[in-house]
Amino acid sequence: MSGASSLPDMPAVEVSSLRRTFVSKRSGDAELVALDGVDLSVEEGEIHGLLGPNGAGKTTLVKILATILIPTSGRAAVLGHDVVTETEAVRRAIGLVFGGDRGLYTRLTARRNLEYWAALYDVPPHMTTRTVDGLLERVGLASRADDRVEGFSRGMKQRLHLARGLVGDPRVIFLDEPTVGLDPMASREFRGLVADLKAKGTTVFLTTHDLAEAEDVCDRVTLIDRGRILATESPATLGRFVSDYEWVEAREIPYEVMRRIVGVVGPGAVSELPAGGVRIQPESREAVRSVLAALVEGGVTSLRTGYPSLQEVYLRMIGDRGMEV
Amino acid sequence: MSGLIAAYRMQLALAWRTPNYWMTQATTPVQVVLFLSIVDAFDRPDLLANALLAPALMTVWATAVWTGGSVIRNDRWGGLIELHVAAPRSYWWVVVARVGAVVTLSLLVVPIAVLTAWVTYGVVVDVAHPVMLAVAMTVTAGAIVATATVLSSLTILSRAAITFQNSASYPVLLLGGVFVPVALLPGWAQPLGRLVFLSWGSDAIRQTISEPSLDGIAGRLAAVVVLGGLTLYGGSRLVRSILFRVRVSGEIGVA
Repeated sequence: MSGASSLPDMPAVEVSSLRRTFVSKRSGDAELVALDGVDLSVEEGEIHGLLGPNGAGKTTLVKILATILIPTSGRAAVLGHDVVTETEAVRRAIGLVFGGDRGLYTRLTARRNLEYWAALYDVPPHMTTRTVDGLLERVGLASRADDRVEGFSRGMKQRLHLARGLVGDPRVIFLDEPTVGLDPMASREFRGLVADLKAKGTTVFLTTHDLAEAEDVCDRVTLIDRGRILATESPATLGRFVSDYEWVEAREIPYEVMRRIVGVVGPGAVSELPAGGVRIQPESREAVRSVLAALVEGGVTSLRTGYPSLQEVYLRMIGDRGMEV
Repeated sequence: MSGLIAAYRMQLALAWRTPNYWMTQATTPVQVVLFLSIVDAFDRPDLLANALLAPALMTVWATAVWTGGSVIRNDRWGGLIELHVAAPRSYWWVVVARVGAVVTLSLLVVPIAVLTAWVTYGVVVDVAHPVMLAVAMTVTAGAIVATATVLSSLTILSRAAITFQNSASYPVLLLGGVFVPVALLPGWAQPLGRLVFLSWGSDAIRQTISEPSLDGIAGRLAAVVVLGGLTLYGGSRLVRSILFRVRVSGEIGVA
């Protein structure tokens, strides 16, 4: 029952030179740039993460792709359908899930909520009960189907959000911060649901600032900050992207060896580890080899190497701005 | 059609579980007693239809505008309007169906008004043309739905529209002949009143209750249908334009 058709060989999502600005009345009609020349392509069946801090432009991009906002300039298409001129085809092809408590009729039951949305997504009446029951089962809410949503925990509401987003059997689903506020167990369950979607061939476009989540479920991740795309790669490749270079951790380094290493990598590349020892982050593969050689020649035997986590990539690329947006 | 039916049913279920929806209806018996006391004090039993019609139509209108209007406001505050916009079904028609559900429930004021008249003043309402009364009420209620949906749609643009709804209600009820027939309004106001669908609807309803002849009722009902239809068509264009505008400005989800 999947919605709209796609044009042949078209990516699930294609964005080029996309710009979106807002006029801030509070700042004397100043123009705020939410997206600034964004280019992005997501293949069908891919789980794509959009990772960035608050205010980076993630939600704005999702809203444009979901036809809620109109871009200031540039082009965005879903399954080959332009989000401005072919809104109906786009809407039939997509599902949309926002995180948080809003977006549900809390005085109604979970079943009634889904029945309503099923009708708005043109699920045939004779299929509604089966579709709704199937979704409630899939998100683990079958036993609470006839309870009012106002009594649900945040995790249950989020699962219902996901069921609502899937009610039209979308080929592309946009999940905007879907695990915000969820406890670790609920987040893990959510990741399982996303894996099910991938197995079914659904394209998932996921925004998050949860690095572990992006690393865990995404085929590729796009880093975005201040409305600009910084990089799009697999989580593992992104890790190597910043440091082509491995890091080196070692313990019990003799003073002379340490001096030699600092001479190679500079003092800024060496940091103490909380559990003892140091982490050395050279700037090149050549430097890694020099560091390793220095350690081995200096008789250091407690050492290991590795690639940076996505979190380290994120912090390096976006900078340590903390909560600043 | 299934989308509209689902929207209608959903709103009925929502209204059933929301006490605020019933507050407007709760005032109807008081208003009926007020109007009947005037009829009784001046010994004008010929005005019985007016005494019952005024509070009933006031309630239907108020419910449509306020409670029906809250359909969009609540969707906006609840983070639901963006989800509706992103859905394949037209939000305008969904809102029309949902306001229609609210107005359907509000029609319960008709038996409430009749019952109140019987309990408080022992008045038994003898409807001259019950079938045509049902037709006239249905047609008028349909036009109320169209008008109320347009008014509530304006709240997407500005919260000040709520004040506008409040300000517009009494002139509409007055020019709509709800309190007294338009023919009894000052001469300058009568042409204005004839532009308000409610004036034709309220005349038709009064006629079915108390007049032996149904002469001219088809024309009156046709006027309601035409004016309501124009409102419905204009409203759909207006809402499309409003939604496009807030999609451009980015204010669609602003509550």
